[in-house]
Amino acid sequence: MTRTFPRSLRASILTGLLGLFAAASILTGAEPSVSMPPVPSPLVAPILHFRSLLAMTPEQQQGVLALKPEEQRTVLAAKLEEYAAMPEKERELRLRLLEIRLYLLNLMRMPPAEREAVLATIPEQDRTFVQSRLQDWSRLNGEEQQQVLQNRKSLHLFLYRGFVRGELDVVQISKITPPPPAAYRAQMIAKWQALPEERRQEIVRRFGTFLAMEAAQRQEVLQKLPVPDQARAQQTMRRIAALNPEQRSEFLNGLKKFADLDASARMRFLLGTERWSNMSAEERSLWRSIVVKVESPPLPPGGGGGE
Amino acid sequence: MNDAEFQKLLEISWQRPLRPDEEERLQTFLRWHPERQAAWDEEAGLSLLLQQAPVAPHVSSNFTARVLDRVEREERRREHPVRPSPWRWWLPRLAGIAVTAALVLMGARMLFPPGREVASDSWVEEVRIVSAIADIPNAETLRDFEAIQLLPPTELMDKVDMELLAALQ
Repeated sequence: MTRTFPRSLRASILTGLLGLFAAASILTGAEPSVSMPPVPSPLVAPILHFRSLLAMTPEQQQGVLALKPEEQRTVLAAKLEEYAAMPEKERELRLRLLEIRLYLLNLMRMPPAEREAVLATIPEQDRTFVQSRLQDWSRLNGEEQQQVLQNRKSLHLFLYRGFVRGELDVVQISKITPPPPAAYRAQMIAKWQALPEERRQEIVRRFGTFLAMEAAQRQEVLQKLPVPDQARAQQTMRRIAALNPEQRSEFLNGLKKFADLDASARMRFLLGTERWSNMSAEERSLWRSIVVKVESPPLPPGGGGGE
Repeated sequence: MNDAEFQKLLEISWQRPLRPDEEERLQTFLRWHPERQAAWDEEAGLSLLLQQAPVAPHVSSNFTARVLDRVEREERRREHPVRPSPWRWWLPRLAGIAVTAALVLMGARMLFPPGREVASDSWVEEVRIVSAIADIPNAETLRDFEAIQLLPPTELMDKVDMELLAALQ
């Protein structure tokens, strides 16, 4: 379970930091300006602390670490070394991921009325993403919110949903190394994508009809396929045979959407299927319900989910 | 009253009901000639039925002429029968042949459907494409396409450094 600041301490830190910056602004006579660096949010104080450690000289770092318990000192020393050796973009990505986690976990537990003031302290580049996840959060009911908070994997998925698609696009995505798609499949997908949309829809529909044919009729078609294609088709039919009509329809719809993806999105999807298969039935069920909630059109005012 | 007068009363009764004095003369005559009672009863019943019958529709003015013409033609036809057209003989037979041929074709179509080969061929390419596309690990997960599509990327998740976060808190 993730630890968070007690509410009173959180409020004190927030008030203190805001006060400090306000006082500094008055003393220096500086006018608020868009060019000013954003005010650090107290919600991410641990990461701010680590950032300040990274900016210190080794001697200064040792001086600060010496004040910490040995176990914590050992881990932090190793992390300082690891992060210092990283390319700047990679380091920044990792720290921002942690900051986003801290922002969201604290905000999700706050009453909605208190969130606005805190959101204002979040740097602009992260604020949009955080607000978007908070909107998702408000669409879940109380039970779903509890389930998300209690399941680490589901929480992880919830917090970072859509991260890569937003303005915070990450640099490491280009390093994806999924298993290369079979050349034959790629060839067939290229053939598929060259077809007009109507024809693609027709093929999917007709494949559904093919599956519903009598075994003898299907066999007649399969016998005309080259042997490797026969094996593939039979494997596909075995997989689909276990599905009920509704699931079969979902499968065919998913198949079409998968075939319509561009190459990189398809690779990403294949990685996702691997992760999906490793999730428990409960995690998958929770994620399905989250997706249905957050992807459906927003409810009219007054019809929102639980907080 | 004699028989002639009885006949006259009979004719009058065809046109209108007898007046009381006529009726009295008639009854007197029938008492002396009971053998004519049956004839009178028959005529009286017929008259009554005719009076009760609905009014007949008007027929065209040349109705009689048309009936007579038709009778004449029928008599001529019987005297000089018309030789039937060859079509009258062939037409039913041709119709029978056509129906039989249609039934045979339908049966043959059911046993050996002409489009079956073509239909079967059209499936082959489609099944080949779809099966190749579906040939992915965990293909059954395709039915959860939306849910999987919205999962954050694995490589991103791996970068959330929970060890560092734990050490900082």
